[in-house]
Amino acid sequence: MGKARSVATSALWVAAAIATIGALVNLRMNYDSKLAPFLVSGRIGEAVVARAFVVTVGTVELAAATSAQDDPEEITLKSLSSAGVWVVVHLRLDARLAPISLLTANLQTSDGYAYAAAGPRVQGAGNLAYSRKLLNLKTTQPGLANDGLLLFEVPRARLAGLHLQVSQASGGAKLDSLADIDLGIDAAKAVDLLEHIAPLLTVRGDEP
Amino acid sequence: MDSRIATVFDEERAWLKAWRIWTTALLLAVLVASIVWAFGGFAAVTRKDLPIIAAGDRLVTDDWILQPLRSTLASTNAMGRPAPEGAAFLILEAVVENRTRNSRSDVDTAVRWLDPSKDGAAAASRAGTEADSVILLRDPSFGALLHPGLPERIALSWQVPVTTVVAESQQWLLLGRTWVPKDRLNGGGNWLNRRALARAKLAVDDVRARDSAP
Repeated sequence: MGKARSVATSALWVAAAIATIGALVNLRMNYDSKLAPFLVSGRIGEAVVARAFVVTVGTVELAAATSAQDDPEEITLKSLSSAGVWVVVHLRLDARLAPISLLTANLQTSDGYAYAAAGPRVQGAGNLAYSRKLLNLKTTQPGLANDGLLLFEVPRARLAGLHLQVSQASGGAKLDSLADIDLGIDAAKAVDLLEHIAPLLTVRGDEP
Repeated sequence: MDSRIATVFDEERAWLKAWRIWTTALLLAVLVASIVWAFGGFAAVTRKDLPIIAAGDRLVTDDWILQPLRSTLASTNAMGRPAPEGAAFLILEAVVENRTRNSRSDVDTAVRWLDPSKDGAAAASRAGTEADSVILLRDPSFGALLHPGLPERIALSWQVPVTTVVAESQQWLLLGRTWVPKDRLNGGGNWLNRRALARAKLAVDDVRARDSAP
């Protein structure tokens, strides 16, 4: 009887230890939280100062299709449509400390979806305009601000409440600044933008 | 006590002890197996015949909607790049839709060609070969970044030796993953447990002669 009680007591201790370890695993802060980016919030038109860069969003427009014109004399342009709409964000980027590239550039929707900035598969010949204007493809040097744009494809139903999130760090900008900019699109503005959607946005490589 | 009786008692005790040990071991084994079974641990080793889907059928996984459309053996890929000397492209066209919450460019991990030359029992194999390239057919010059809720027509291509005898039909494994809100490694959410969910079986149209036509 004494032996059975001893075994039962040991079993209870083991069960309690397992339950404690399980509770600790479930309660501890996870890596996503530990390595979360430092959010620097701002609004459209404001200079948002992150650790390594300053970003200012100028305007936002919609386009049904995009095309690129490398040469002003180029006549035949291949346009690229979308199953959603193209959200075109015009912005200025300045590096504060060292040359930077925007390795994270997303549009965050109000219901938790993240749409990454698009771009050509290969930069250079045939894609000069995109290479010159899309800030997710360029390197920005300190003191030499770049004016450019970011192209996103987003479903029409997810336009309201969009935030632009950019960082020089990849993979969710862990432990680095993440600039979070409210694009100021409420439901009424989304309808207005859709009513005035440009049929075609041409990115011109010859423009400054 | 008679020594013979003492011996009998000793044997009885030894037998009883052995019986207890084996009974305890058996109960523990049953308990462990029950726990493993309850948490789905045997699912990974339970080989089931995967459903076969045909051209035009849709497979809805947790992370993708995959709809294989057609397959060709071509001398150029979807970007018009000719195959290297002595090679051809096996191309699978499909409509895919990203069901996760983030833009992704890893649809090549969800479709694997069951190369018959690598595995005689390819149809039953759980392995397979990932595509050499994924091309957005809407505009091949743009990267195949697939956005949530926006279906895309893509071409997955495998470079194969021109001497490869491609059968009239080929098979591909279609794989899916499960969203785990809190994984056991770091407590964060993750797409895990990639597993084959179906096989796609499509006729292969050899268009190499058409590609090389002037």
